[in-house]
Amino acid sequence: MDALVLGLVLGGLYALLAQSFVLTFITTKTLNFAVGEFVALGAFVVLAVAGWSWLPDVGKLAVGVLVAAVVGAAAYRFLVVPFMTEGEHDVRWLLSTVALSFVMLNLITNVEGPSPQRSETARLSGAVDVLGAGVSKQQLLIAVLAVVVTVLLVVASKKTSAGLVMRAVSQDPETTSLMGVSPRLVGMVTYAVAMGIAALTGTLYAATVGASPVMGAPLLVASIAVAVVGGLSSLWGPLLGGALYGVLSEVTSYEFGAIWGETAGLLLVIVVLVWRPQGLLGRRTEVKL
Amino acid sequence: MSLEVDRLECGYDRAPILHGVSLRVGPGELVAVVGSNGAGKTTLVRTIAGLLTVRSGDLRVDGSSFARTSAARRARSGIVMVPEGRRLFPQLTVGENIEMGRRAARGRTGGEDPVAALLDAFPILTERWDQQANLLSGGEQQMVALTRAVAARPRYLLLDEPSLGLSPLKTLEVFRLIEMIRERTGAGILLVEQMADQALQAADRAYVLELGRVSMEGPAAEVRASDEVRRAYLGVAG
Repeated sequence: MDALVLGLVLGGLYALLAQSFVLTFITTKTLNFAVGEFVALGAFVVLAVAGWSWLPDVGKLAVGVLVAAVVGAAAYRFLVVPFMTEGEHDVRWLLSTVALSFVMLNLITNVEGPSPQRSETARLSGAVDVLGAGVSKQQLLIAVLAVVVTVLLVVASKKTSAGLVMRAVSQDPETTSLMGVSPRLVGMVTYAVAMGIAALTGTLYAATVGASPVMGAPLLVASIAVAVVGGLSSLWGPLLGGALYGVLSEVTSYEFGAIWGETAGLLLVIVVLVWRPQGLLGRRTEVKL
Repeated sequence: MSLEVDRLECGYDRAPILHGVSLRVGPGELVAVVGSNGAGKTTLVRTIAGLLTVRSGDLRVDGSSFARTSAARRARSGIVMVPEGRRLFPQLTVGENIEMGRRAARGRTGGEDPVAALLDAFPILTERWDQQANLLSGGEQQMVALTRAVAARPRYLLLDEPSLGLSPLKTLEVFRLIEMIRERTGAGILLVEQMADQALQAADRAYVLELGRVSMEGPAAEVRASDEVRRAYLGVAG
C-alpha cells in the first residue's frame, strides 16, 4: 500500500514534466530534449531571486517560469524551426535540442558549480499521512499540481480560442496559416508554456533535492517514458502514464529491490510501444487526403 | 483595384513550374484558370496564397506588392484560399472549422456577418454544426470549406479544384454556392478547375494555362468557344 501511494505521488512529478513533452509534440510534432536543463534553469533563476524579500514565493516562481518561457520560445524559433524545414522526415531538431541540452548544462555548471544548493522557495516541510503512507508535503504538492495543470490545459484546449488554434495547428499547420494564424508563432507560445511548466517542476523539485545542473537528467528519462506510455498526443496521457509508471516502478523496487524499479518502468514503455505505439490515450496520426 | 500576378516564376526545388505567368482579377470578378494536369494551376494558387515562394515576378493587390509576406499575413489582408482536397481540420467540428476562418478576419469586422447568409441558404451547415468534419460527405465538406473561407472575409478568393471528387450534382451545388459568395461578398474570385466547361460557363474571364505559360486569355465565353479549348479541354472532337 505504501509503495502504491508513493508510486502515484512520484508519478505526479513525472507527469507534470511529461506535460512539457506532450504540449510541444501536439502542436509542433517536436520534442525538446533540453527539458532537463530547463528544469535546472527554473530552479536556479528562482534561487537567484530568492533573496528578494519583497516578492512573495509565488512571484519568485513566476520569475523562474517567465525566464524559462522566454528562453524556450527562443529555442524553438532558433534551434527547432530552422531544423525542420525539409518536411516530416527532417528530424535535425532532435540533434539541435540535444546540443542545447549540453550547452545549457555546461553554462549552468560554469556559473553555479556542480554541487546541489539548498532551495527554500515554495518549500513545504514535513509529511502528511495518505492512506497510511507518509508522503512529504512537497511531493504531494507537485502531484496535486500535475493534476491541476492537466485539468487547466484540457479545459483551455476545449474552451478557449487559443486552445482551438492549438488543436487546429496540431491537425494541419499549413491550413492554419491560411486562416491567418502563424504556426511558427503558435509553436513559440507552446514552447514558452511547456518550458514554463518545466521550470515550475524544477523549482518545486529543487526544494526536495536541491538545485544542481544535473537535477533534470534523472527526471528526463522517466518523464519521456511517462509521456510515451500515456500517448504523446493526449493531454490526459501524462496523468495515466505517470500513475502506471510510478506505481509499477515503486512496487517493483519495493518487492525486488531498487535496481528493478526503473527497469520495470522501461519494460512498460516497450510493452506499450509494441501493443499501442501511439500510447494508451494517444491518437494515431491521421493520414492526409 | 485588383489582384495582379505579374510575370510570376516559381516552382519546387530544381523544377521550375511557372514560366512568367501574368493575370489579373478585379473586385467582384470571377476569373477561371483552366488547363490539364500538370499545367501549374495548383502551383499558381499556392504561390498567390503564400505556401510557395516566388522566384521572380511580383504579386500585387491594389498596387502594393505582397510577394514577400507570409501566408498568414496574406490571409489576414483578405487573400483567402480554399485548398485542393478541402483540407478541413478533420477532428474539429463544422462550427470550429468556421470559427478558425473568422481568425483571418480579425480587425476587419463590421457590416453584416457574411456567414449568416450562407447558413440561411444551406441549412445543412447548421444541422451539422457540432459534427466532426471528417464525418461529412465530400459535398458537405466542400460547403464547409467555402463557408470557412467566407468567414475570413475575403477580398480575393482563390479556389483550387472545388469540384474535385464530387458527383456532377454536388458540383452544380458547389458552383451555385460560389456564385452566391461572389454576390454576397463582392470578392474577386480566381477559380482553378479541371472541369473546364463548368468553370468557363460560370466565369467572366478566363486564362488557359499550358505547361506553366498562359496560352490564351479573354472573356470566358470566347475562350470556351475557341477551337483549341473545345478540342483539348471540353472533349469535343474536331
